[in-house]
Amino acid sequence: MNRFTKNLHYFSPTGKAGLIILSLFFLMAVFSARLTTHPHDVSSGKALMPPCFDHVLGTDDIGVDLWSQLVYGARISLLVGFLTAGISGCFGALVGMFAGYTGGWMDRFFMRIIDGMMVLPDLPVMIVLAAFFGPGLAQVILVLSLFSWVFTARIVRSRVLVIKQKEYVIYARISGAGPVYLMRKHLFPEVLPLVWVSMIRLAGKAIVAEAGLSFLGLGDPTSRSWGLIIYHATRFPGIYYTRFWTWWLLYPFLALSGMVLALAFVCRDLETLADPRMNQKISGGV
Amino acid sequence: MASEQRKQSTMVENKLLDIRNLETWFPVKRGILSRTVGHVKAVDGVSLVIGKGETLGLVGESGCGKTTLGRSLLGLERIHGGEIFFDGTNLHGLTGNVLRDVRRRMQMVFQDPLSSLNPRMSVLDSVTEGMKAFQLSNARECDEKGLSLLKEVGLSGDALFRYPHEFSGGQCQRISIARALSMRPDFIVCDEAVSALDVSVQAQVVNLLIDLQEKYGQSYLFISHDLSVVSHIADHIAVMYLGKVVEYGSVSAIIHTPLHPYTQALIDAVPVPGKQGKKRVIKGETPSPMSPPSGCPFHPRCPEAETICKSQVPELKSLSGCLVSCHLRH
Repeated sequence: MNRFTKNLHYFSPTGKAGLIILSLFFLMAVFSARLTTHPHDVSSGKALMPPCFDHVLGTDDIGVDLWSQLVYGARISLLVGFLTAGISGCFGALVGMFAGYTGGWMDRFFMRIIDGMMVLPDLPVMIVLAAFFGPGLAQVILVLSLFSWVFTARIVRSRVLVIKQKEYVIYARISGAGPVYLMRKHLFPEVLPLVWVSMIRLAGKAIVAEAGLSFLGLGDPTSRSWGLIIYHATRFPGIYYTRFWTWWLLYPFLALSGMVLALAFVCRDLETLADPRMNQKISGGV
Repeated sequence: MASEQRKQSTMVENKLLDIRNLETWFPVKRGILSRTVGHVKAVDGVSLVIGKGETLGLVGESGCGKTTLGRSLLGLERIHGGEIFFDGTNLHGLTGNVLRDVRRRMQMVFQDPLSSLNPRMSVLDSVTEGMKAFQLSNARECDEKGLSLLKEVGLSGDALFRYPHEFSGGQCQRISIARALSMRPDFIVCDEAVSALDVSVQAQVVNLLIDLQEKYGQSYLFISHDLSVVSHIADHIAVMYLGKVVEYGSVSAIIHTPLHPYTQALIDAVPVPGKQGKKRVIKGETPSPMSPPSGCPFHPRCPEAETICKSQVPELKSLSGCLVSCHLRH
């Protein structure tokens, strides 16, 4: 915790704002039940009510409170974002460390896979995969992870290649250190900050991608994510000719943008913190 | 060749390290199928002997293979041919406990002071890393040993829990030396260990190495491009050119009566304040080790080259106490 507060010192104003917005969304997800007065999945009023005292953000076409949907949607977005980031971050870090450390044909093999995954147009493939796996939250997370790990793996591999040449690693090697020891003691601590940064970045991407898949009707129809609210709103005939969009479309969009922007700001600051040239300044302390 | 080796080995008593005809070649791969089209002969048939408690200075231009030779001894490069005997054991194909023991007894000090220490590990952790990995003693004794070693190399006790970036290059190099010593080695490769330091700090570190050698009796392979530093610390000097040893002898012989034209030029190149007179300067660049010149590898740049130098490879021959590979010296 002490280190966290110390690092907080290096955050820019935008980074701090990002952290605040993120923690607000977290609180929203954790205390959903206390923040809402209406259920998020069943009708609780007239259809398409504009924002009023009882329904702060109005209701949708079947009379479900939109504020409740938004609050419970934060759970989905955070879950998808951070689970995807976690899975792909861990897997990518493992692959990257393995490929970078072993080198040779293993390295080339993994790098060709990564190159291939990177140039594949991800949205069409994701749509096909989502259609193949069927709708559902777990499937969405799986599909998103499948496309995200390559970024982490690539960054981690290049860092491992650099550290492998460092004299302190060579020293450990000539003193008889095995691969497990080297990874645990010398490579992993050096790579970890990079993994964090890429995980935050992937979380932002995953949240947008989940909204995109939901918007295309490939998300989990039972869970009301932000993307799904937008999907239902845009499917409503006449949404573009009426004023319904001012509450039905706008607020989920704002929530989505707010979350992604906050993640991007935090990520940018973490990136400068994780920069190896900055390392000394941080570990040296203030 | 064999007779020359015998002569050479008589020059050093109590052999610790015996390098016989060592070859470290790097394959050059081209094309889609990565066919090996040739070899860079970084170390090409080097035979050297290092005695117990002795320091062998290895000098030469950059790219002549001196670092590769040092790395080959420690098993960091795959050896193409030849043999290395360490205290009577052939280092090729060692496994298990014998390999572990040899690794403990052969250590290295690197050129770059900062990157030889993990920036995320405290000085004490760095110094005791090897001891703890080898379980030379329990953790507390390792820490105590680390502290006494750091004091021995001239660092105060409060250095223990600080991090490498808080130290100067010279101090980092002292820490690296303490780390190498922690394993109680018999042999330390100092790969350009003082080249990155200021001249005044260089002298301190070199003197530290000499003091520690007197105390613990380990041997050094001192790799450097700086003849003046090498002449201060070494007992014998080997001069390398394009992967081959061109001259080998005691320090005084090499410095005062160099025989090989290349050694002569190297010594002339050492700046001495107030020195007058004509210098023998070698022209041109080191040829590519992938396609070395025919005959004597030095002949394209040699001021004295004759026709025989272009066609025949000179062998190391014994001449007034030194070994020299030159057709023109008799």
